[in-house]
Amino acid sequence: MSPMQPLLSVHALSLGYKVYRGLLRLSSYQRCYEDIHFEIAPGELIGILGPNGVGKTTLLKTCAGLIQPLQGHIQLAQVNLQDYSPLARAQKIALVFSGRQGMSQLKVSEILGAGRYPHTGFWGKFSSVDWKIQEEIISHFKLGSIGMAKIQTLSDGKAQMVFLARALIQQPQLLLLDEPTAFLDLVYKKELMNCLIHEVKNKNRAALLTTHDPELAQKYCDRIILMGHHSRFKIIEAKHLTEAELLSTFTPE
Amino acid sequence: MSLLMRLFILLALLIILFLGSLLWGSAIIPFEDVLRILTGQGGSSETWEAILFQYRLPKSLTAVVAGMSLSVAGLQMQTFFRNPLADPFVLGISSGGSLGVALLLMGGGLLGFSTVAFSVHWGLAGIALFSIMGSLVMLFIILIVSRFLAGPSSLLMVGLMSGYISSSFVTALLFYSDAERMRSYMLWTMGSFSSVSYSALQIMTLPILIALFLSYTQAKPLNAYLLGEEYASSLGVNVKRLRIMILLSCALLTGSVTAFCGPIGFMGIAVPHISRSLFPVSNHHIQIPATALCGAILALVAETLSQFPGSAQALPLNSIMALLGAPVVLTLILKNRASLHGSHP
Repeated sequence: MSPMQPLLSVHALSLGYKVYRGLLRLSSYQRCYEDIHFEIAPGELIGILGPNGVGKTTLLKTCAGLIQPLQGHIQLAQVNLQDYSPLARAQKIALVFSGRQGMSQLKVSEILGAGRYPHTGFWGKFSSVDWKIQEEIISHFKLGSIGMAKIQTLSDGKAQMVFLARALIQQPQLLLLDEPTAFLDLVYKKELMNCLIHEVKNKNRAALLTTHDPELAQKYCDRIILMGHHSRFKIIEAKHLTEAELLSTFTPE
Repeated sequence: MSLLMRLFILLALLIILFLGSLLWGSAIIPFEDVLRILTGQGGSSETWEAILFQYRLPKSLTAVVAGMSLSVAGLQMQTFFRNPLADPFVLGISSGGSLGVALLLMGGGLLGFSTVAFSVHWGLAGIALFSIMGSLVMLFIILIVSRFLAGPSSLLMVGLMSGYISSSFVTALLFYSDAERMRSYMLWTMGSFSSVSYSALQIMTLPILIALFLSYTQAKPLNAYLLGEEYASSLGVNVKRLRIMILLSCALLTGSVTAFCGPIGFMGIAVPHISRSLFPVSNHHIQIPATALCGAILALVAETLSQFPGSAQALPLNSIMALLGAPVVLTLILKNRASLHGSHP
């Protein structure tokens, strides 16, 4: 087997986010993590474990191009991430943020349809291909009956399935998911992860997800990124995850 | 009934109401005469012709343009601030426009040059410009503040407060100006479609047409923006550009109307909700024209209601607007208690 080209490669990356101070919105960069190296190939699922506030979500958003890296390079399909236009980037990367992001009055069908945004023209009109992709995923996720329901009326589990389906309708090569299984019961957790595994293994997508559930990460992911305090970054095979590794990741010192 | 069908019905209703508003007023002009005068065949009375051309036609046209303008501004602001209660009046954008106008009219008077000469084309353009600039400044302030605050109600508080601040400036300006200016300013703040001349109408309509076009070009990004700023940018929306476009378009829409009709309340907040209940889709490609039509209709209704037939008196427009709009807003608050209390986890 020839070594596969990585889909996303992250090199010497320093993370940070803008913080605003005072009414004048003077901004400065809060550096939160340094010297991150990793690669993710098509067909691979990587989980990110680490304590709260260490920068897991910031890493995801930086990989998505929503936050600029403070240092280092990110390459998507061998091209610098910064060289992509927002639309070209959105054709390759889809995100699932945690929670409902304040959406309440939107209908499920409207949320799902937004997934085709980077692929449609000025009028946002669907081509027959767009319809086919959307229909396939809706029927796979069994969301056909709730298309007219408002997102706020759904359970957390169902809503999360809608957001995963929306990301897949975007047909990305790389999926970034921020705590996709938080608030979910066992049944939904299993269903969501199985859907994700199906997409990664059968459709050859890559997925990167953050989680607080080491067992889930070990069970489903190929590799695990451990983001400890003080930029102690480590990437290991999921089967090599040990209690000791977890302990050293989560201890503050 | 298909959405397109509904749009056509609204359009027909708008045309009927428009003709109706030409008949209705202190003197009732028969329908055949209105048609004859409009088609250039001459009416049976010169007075009627004068009333129609000098008074009613510009007034009804103004109502249509202003109604469309404020409602579309409200729709964009509701999507952009993700707040069902956002509108140019509530968030103090109109007061920003008023402050701009007050600065020009009264401040100019204090400095010794007169800009009240409403017949001068440049005077009118100046008023529009100052009003648009005032609205833009206020929008900018609201935008900055909205980056800090989560939750719809805090944004409204900020809007109210900045409205108070700008009216305190206006009050100070009023204090130093003469009685005539004071009176004309007070009348202007009550809102009116009837004091807009044809040349003012022209100056008002141009920026509004530009802004309506601008907002329609942003319909697709606005649809994505309904999912929130982060989802929108992950979908490829250039959020910075969208923000500039919306800001500019809202300032042009609000500022132009405020300059000539005064700060008019409740259109921006109520009409998008009326439109959403008639057209239950979030798609801005449909919602923008639908809101514009509903806004024109509501403005014509309000304008017509403010005229008593057989009397030259007219009620201040804002009192009618409040009577029509406030119940809509109240219903909305009671219906959507949950969604107005900030975001769901």
